[in-house]
Amino acid sequence: MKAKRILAALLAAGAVLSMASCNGGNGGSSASGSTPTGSSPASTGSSADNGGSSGSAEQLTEIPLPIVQEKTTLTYWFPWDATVSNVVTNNNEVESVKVMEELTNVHIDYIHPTIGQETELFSVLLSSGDLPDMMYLSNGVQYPGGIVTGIADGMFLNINDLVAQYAPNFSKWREYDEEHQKETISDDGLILGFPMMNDVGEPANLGLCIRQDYLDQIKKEVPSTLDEMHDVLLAAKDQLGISGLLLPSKGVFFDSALLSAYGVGKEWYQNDGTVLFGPMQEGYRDYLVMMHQWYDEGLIDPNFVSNGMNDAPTNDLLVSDDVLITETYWGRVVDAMVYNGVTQNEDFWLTPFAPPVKNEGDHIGIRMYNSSILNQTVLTKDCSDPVIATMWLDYQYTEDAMVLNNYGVEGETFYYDEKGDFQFTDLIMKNPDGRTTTDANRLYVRRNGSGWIDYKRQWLTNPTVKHKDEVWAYDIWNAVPTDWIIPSITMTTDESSEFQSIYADIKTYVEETTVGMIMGTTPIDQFDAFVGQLKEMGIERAIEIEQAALDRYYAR
Amino acid sequence: MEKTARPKKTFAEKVRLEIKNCGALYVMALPVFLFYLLFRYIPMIGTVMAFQKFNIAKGLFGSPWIGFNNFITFFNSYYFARLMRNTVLISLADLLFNFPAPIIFALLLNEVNRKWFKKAVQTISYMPYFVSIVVLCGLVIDFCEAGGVISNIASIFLGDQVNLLSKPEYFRTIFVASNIWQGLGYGSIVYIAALTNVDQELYEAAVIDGAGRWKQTLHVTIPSIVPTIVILLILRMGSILDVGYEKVMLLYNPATYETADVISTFVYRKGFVDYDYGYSTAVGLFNSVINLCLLTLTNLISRKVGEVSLF
Repeated sequence: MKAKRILAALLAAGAVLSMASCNGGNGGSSASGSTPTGSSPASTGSSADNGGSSGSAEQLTEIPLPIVQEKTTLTYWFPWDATVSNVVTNNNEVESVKVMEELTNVHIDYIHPTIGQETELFSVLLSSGDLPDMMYLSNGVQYPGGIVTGIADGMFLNINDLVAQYAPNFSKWREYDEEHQKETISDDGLILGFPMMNDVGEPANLGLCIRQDYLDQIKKEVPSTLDEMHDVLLAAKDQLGISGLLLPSKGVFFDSALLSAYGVGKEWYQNDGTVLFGPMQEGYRDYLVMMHQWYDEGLIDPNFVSNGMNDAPTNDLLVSDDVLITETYWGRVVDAMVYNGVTQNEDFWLTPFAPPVKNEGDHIGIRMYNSSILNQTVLTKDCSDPVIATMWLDYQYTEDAMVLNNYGVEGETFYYDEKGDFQFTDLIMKNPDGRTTTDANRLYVRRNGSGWIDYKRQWLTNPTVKHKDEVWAYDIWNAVPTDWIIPSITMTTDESSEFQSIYADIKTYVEETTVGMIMGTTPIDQFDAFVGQLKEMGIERAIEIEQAALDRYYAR
Repeated sequence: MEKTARPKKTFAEKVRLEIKNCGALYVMALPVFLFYLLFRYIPMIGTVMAFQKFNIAKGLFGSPWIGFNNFITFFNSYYFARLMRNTVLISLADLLFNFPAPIIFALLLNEVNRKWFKKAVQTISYMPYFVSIVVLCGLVIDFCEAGGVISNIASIFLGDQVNLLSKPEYFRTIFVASNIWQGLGYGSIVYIAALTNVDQELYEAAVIDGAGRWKQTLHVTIPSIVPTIVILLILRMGSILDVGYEKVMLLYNPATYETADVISTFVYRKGFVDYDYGYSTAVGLFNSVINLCLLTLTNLISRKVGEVSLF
């Protein structure tokens, strides 16, 4: 009897405790099995050694095709997006990816994490101790402490020698301009990985927009100052009965619009090389005061906080008749929503406009900014053949690969028009199987990935572009200067872990206070206390770290 | 005296005999045993992370030990008091309303005589339980937005159409009410089962003594299911600080962190979003230790007072 009771107690205790380990450390069970075996990657497919001793083999000047005589398989962890997963179950089913495999004789075994759970799955994968050959760090996936830490931890390979020896095309690209040189390496000169890159970054593709049809109804012009905007919103409230401004659920627009009128950026920004933290500035208080007033006047969508909008609203929300002003991506402005059948309202028209200023002539130095260097692919400690992987990735930076990856196969998916520009064929534009342009595009042509990408390809399939000969929204949003923006700096391992532990708590605190003050649940006169609390939470140390990293960036 | 005369069985013999007698039972128990071993006991090794500055690359055996630092950081954290308060309050509110609700529901159903009506009500009340939590929370968000059904009804009392989910003061109410909506039918099954076991003679005796329906419920029905209630209450106490993160995460937003952020959501964010495994495990472990204490305490009280206990 006694034994039974003890057993029951043990079981109950165990159940409770193990809940703890499930809640707290999902990495635990698997991490226990991850003794770092230090299995040094042996190069199998190539005669060259591991890239450790450059000079023993000749530097490649171009990538031979096929890369290997015998079919080689590499595994590639590859987050993707719903527009692709709608039409195929694996990247290997995409036509241009099949062509790439034929050309290179390298089979890529794509592993796609579930969309929306990339970060969680990445962390589970890391703690499992068994990594695929290559990993594409996109969809918000980041190694804790950055790639530099990943290399220092021995999870990712240091690819400097590999690149020097086996990556002629990428090396050429790296020298393209200052941004390329600086943003492909760390402060210590480590090459971070193989990025998705452009010659120049895509222009500002996100910004403010306003319902032109509503503006016409209330007989107003597109606002250029805060006062004009207030005026427009008031008129819309009176005449149309809508709370027209849709804010993101964190209370500040993704590109700091409206807040920038007060000379402040939303999180980190700079002023002539000095790092500043937006929420500590007086301008931030002014912004909150204004937003609170607008909220009280019923000019801001009362549901903004619970609709989950991060950068841009969902299509359904965008076309709902309650939104006058919000932010969205360029592909959805003018009458794209009508064209795509998202709304039946033929008058629907979104006019993009520049962030309003406080006083005419004020300077704003922040907007949506896309670097020319984007998502990196890293080689992992378990990479079965770093040389082949490097060569395959390097091939993605050739012009041939650019054409294939962005436009597909000439004669099938695209042709050159009389001006020598790319045009998609009817296979994409008017798909005989009745697929939409997007679906057909995703089925025949690779979407994102490392290598040379041409963002202009999106213009060919977008109705927005057809209305104007150029991409109108880009010109408006991109005209804003960028001198407040902090470039992609890197922190050292220690800095980054310290920064992370300070800033994670601060971020939550800033978000809830911002939203609370806009909605009035937190009184604005507590702003000073808020700043005081930020200091208590260590914001000054975080600023110091950020400043040091920025200084090093400029010294690169 | 015979005892000593009988030759002592060796361990191997005992095992053989046991397998011969009830081998089938062991086979049947095996999956459950494996489940607990694989998913409940082995993962416990991971709790050592709570005492480490855990680094993914170095793993469980290579990460530096830092003693109770993770716990100290948590206790000194800006969020500690708030997380404790929210977790306890949400749990208590849930216990207070959500624990008796299925009992009352089962008692009411027990009084219904028409079988088809009883079955229909039971089936309908189960249904929300089978709706995925994501869908359910989507519904709740839609209903509670300004312009939503519930907001509309609430505006009669509040005077104004507000987004109920942006008001920190309503979060607990919404959370608990939607829990009841979802769990009422399912939670009542075990009580309904207990009620069918009540000896009918007791009722007959009660009727002879002149007891009406109310008195019968009070003096026959409820005392008969008290052991079930107590056992379930003890089990429930063991998870009092265990507010699941899924539902809170789906319903909260920056405006309601103040009342909605609980230990489990904090653990989730620290672990999966910030990759701070050691810290996250420490917080989770702290939570579990308190749960274990509460469970033991309730059990102790219950054994002393009611003579019903789990162990």
